[in-house]
Amino acid sequence: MQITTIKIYGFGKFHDTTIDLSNRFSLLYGENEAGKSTLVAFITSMLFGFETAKHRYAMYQPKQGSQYGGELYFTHGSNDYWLKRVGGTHGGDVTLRNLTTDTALTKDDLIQLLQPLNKELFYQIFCFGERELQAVFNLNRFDLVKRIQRIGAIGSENWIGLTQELTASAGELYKPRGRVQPLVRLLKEYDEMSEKIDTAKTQFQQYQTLQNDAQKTAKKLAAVQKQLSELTDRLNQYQRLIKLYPQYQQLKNGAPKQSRTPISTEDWQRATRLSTAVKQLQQDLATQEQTIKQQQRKHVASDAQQFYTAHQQQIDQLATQMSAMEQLQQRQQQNDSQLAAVKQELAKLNQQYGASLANLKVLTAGEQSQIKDLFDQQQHLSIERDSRAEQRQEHQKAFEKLRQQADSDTSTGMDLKWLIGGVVVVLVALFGFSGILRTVGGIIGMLVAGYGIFKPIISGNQQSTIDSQMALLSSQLDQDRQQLAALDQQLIDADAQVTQFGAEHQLQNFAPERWLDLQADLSLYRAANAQQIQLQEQQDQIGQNLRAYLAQWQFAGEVISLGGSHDFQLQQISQFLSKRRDESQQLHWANEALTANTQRQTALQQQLNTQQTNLTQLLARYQLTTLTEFEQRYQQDQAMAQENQRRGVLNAQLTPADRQILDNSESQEFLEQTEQQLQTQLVEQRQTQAELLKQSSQQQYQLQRLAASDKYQNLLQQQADLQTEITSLTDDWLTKQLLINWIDQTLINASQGRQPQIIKVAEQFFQQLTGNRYRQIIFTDQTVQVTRDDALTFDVGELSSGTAEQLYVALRFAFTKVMADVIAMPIIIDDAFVNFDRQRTASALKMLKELAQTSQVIYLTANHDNLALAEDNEIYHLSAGKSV
Amino acid sequence: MKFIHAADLHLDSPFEGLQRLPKALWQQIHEAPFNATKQMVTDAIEQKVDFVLLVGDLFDRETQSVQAQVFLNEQLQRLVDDGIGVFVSFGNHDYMTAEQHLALQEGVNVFGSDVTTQTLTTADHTRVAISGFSYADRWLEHDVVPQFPERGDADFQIGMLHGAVKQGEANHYAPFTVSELASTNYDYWALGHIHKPGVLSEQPLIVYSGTIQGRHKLESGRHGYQVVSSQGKHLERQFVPADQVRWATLSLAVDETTTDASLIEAVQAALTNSVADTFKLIDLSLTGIEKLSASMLSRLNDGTWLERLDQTQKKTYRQTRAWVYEVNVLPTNRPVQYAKLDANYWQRAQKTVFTPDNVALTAGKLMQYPFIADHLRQPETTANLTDRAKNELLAQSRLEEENDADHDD
Repeated sequence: MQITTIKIYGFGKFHDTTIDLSNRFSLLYGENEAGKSTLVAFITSMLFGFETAKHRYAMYQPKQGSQYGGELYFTHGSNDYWLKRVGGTHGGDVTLRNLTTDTALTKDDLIQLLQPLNKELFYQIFCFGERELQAVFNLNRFDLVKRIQRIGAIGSENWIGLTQELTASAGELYKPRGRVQPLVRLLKEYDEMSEKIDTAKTQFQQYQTLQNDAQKTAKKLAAVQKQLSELTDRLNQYQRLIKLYPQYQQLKNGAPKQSRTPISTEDWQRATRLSTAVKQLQQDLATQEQTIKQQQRKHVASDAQQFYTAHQQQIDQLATQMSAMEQLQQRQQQNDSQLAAVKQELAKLNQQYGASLANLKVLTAGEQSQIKDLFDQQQHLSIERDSRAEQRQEHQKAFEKLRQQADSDTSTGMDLKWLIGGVVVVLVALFGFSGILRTVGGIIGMLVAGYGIFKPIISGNQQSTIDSQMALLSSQLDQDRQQLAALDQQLIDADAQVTQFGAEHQLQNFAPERWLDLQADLSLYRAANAQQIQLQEQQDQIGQNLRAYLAQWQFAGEVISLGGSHDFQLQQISQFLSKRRDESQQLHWANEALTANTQRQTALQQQLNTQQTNLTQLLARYQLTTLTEFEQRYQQDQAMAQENQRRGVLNAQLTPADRQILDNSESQEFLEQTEQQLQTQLVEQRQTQAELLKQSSQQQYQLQRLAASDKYQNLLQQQADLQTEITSLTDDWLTKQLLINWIDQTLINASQGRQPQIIKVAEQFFQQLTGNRYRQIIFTDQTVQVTRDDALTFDVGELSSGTAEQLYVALRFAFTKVMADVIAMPIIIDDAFVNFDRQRTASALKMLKELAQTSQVIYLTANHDNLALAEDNEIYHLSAGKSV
Repeated sequence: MKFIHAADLHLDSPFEGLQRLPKALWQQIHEAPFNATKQMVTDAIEQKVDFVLLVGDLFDRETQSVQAQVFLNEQLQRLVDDGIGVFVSFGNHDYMTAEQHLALQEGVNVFGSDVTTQTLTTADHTRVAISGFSYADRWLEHDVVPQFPERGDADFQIGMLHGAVKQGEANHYAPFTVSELASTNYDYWALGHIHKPGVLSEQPLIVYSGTIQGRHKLESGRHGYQVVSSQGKHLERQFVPADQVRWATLSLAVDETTTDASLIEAVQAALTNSVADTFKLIDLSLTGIEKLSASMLSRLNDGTWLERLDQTQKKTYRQTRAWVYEVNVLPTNRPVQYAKLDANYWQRAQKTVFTPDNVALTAGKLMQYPFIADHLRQPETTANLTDRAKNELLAQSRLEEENDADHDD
């Protein structure tokens, strides 16, 4: 790119300024403050955009109110362009025109055109200023070499500046040999912490040792305690034995008596029981004998009973007939009363009918019905005749009445009976009643009286019929008379038949109407006669039987006092028998009681024998015969048992060990001595125990203290936290350090990548700048070397500072040239050679002019002397002439 | 039949990755492994389990503390007193040597260095055989599974194994393969060593109970123990969280409008919205940082912002039940604004600079500290440093832009 014309509307101190830059090389002269940097900023701002308000000072807003911006004419490739940029958003409003093709282009086209550059890169590659060079010149040798080595990278100055800042800030965090940096301090803290932890860690060993010790102490303690308890036991034993010793001695001397089999308590109790039973039985037996004697004395049979016993068979046999005899005797009495009743009935009938009854026969059933029919016929005829006679009388009466009516038609007036009755009723009603009854009564009375007055008038008109009725009745009366006569005849025939029947049966002494009733009494009479004869016969028979039976009892006549009527005799016998039965019963019961008592006596005797035998046997078991001996022996045995018991108690108190000790001890003093020794041992062991207990409690306390302490754990956690802090800070530091590393490596890589081209160009420039004194530049991994024209090789560090600066300038321009070969852009040098002497500046300008052959070079300078080093047409005065 | 399977209690191991916590919170976190263990024991008693299996690494030999031992003994005693069987095998951290081993009280069944089998009959008359062993050394490089006995006639046979699945050449922790375990026909393999709870196989159950309490950011998520109960002839497994503090992440997006205060508010709001029963330790990740102002970005990078957040957190962490302990500024996807002309040089350099070796080299003397060396040797560290360098580069270039602009003329 070749910028041909710059037109400034207003930018910083510039306004309405036009600068012609049509030459490949332009020297722009201006004193300090003339606006050299502003011009550089204008060019970059035109190409890459105005700065934003964020960077106020870099905006270069015009001071005098001109329009912000300007124009650039430039050639790029083979085309001419016109660029206008004025104030606006996003770096200003751009107008771009391809003048060659006469086409309007956009802001994006401009960016495309400038690819891959941006403002920063442009500055880094194509702008080269006093400040940069001055900084390089101020570097020490080492840094200079470094800078030279990295010259092939874009923006290496800036990057190097960044690495320097990073180095500084990293150094604030950590320096391997530092003392005050935070990471250093933390590491120191960490070391101290680790020591503390190591110390604290021994706690665990301590704890374990303590645990072991505590266990040992516990074991010892247990052993001592066991011994103690043994000692205490022995001591107690001796103390006990000392007390028992006299008793022991006593018992030992008095040897126990060899006892016979002692009487056991059961046997003792049994013997007592048996002897009591024997006594009781003997007593019972005596009582029993007494009772039996009394009973035997009490019950003796009477004379009558003895007689009965003597004739028992005969009497018992007769007694069996007794009830039959008594029945016979009762029958006789009944018969007597029946006979009396029959006789009375016969006497009554004889009195009623006289002696004729005996001649009459009883009518048969046929005869009875025959006479009954005759009576019925007689009665029937009689009734019919009576009714005919009555009918005739009525007819007679009716005929009489009709004749009277016909005689007296008008004779009758009022009926007085009715009239008087009605007046009576009215009077009764008037005086006897009151109220409605009086009214009703009055009315009824007047009606009755009225009827009496008006009755004849009512029955008036019957005269015409009466005459015909009278004729009819008179014929009727004749007929009645004839019928009556016939009936009378029939009645007479019937009476004759009845009379005939009475004669035939001897009934003429009796009225015919009684004939049939008489038949019943007649039968009765005949039956009573027959019964009387039969009863009489029976009475005779019974009397005969009784007499025969009583005759058999005559052998006991005196005893029973027989005499008098049969009846009385029977009663006597019956009484006698009843008494005998009672007495026999009593004797029987008395006998049974006696038998029972006798049996009991026998049983008691047996029991007595058994018990006595048992007692004797029991006593015999102990070779004894009497109970008294037995009791004495028992008392002796009891006394013995008590003594044995005492011995037993003592024996129980003595264990085999006790016995052994006692047997081995010749005296109580010996025992007491041993006891004293034990006492002493006990005191000693107690002391040991106390010591061990103290030790144990100390150990336990220490264990607890260690267990309770979380110091170690806390330290561990603190250490972990510290580690975190340290690693975090390490990361911070390493990030910076690695970033430095990265940037550096990139710069080295880039430089090395461009080295061959750069070296080629740089060697030319270096030759020019040094007046051909040096001809070769060699890059090695560590350093940069140059070869002088006399073939001597120098390390950069060995060069004079001036030569080193020349080398840097040569390389720097070589880099720009190399880059400009790729991206053709104007190279802007802002008073870079202020430190150079005349000769060197001349060489430098010569070099620039050579550079201008491939790229446009704009050289800004404040050094007036430099004007001489350029052609007039190449020079532009910023403060004078063209600039206002 | 019911039992608890737990492992890797690591009672005396400290929490890693925390700094500058308030005293009370520090205490709470410090007690978390103890409280988690206590809860497990309480659950065991309340659930009336028949026995408890503890498969190694109950504590760390290297940092063994009296307090931890006393605590463990107390808790085991609670189980023993309640008639619950306790079966302990030691792992690579609490390996037992002849001269020194943990004195566990009577009633606790400790497996020796050879595989042995203990049998018991549970309250419901189930016969259970438990086989296991303890480490006798820090490492155990051979496969121990062949030493386990063949399945006996017990109703259930359980194997206790502290180790890791065989991977590659070097295996230091009783290496095994899942198929090998499955072929033993055991009913349950109670595994320890890996701190993340995991089920290697459902049939038969081959299960890592995981550590009972996560101790650093890599042990994020729920931690606890397994409760296993018999359902007829097969076993049912359930994971039960017991951790008192949980490691979690929170991701927030930032943009041009984000300020120190607004970001703190956003963090607080996010924490308030997700308050949970278990206290959370939060690793905060920020995305979209390229939109941030350079100064904001550098305050995030150099920890100034986190310090400011800490001031707020100190007042609110009891309510939010969370504490942000770290801020990760995720690198932007946008390339750093270095010269495009040199892009390949930057990339090449990045590859040579950000290697674990170069990291170690750069760290220099710091590598003398094993914990730093461990940290730096991890590949994640290198990756993290790369991201951070990019962020720093971004921040620096931003700053420079701003500075350049302000300082010109």
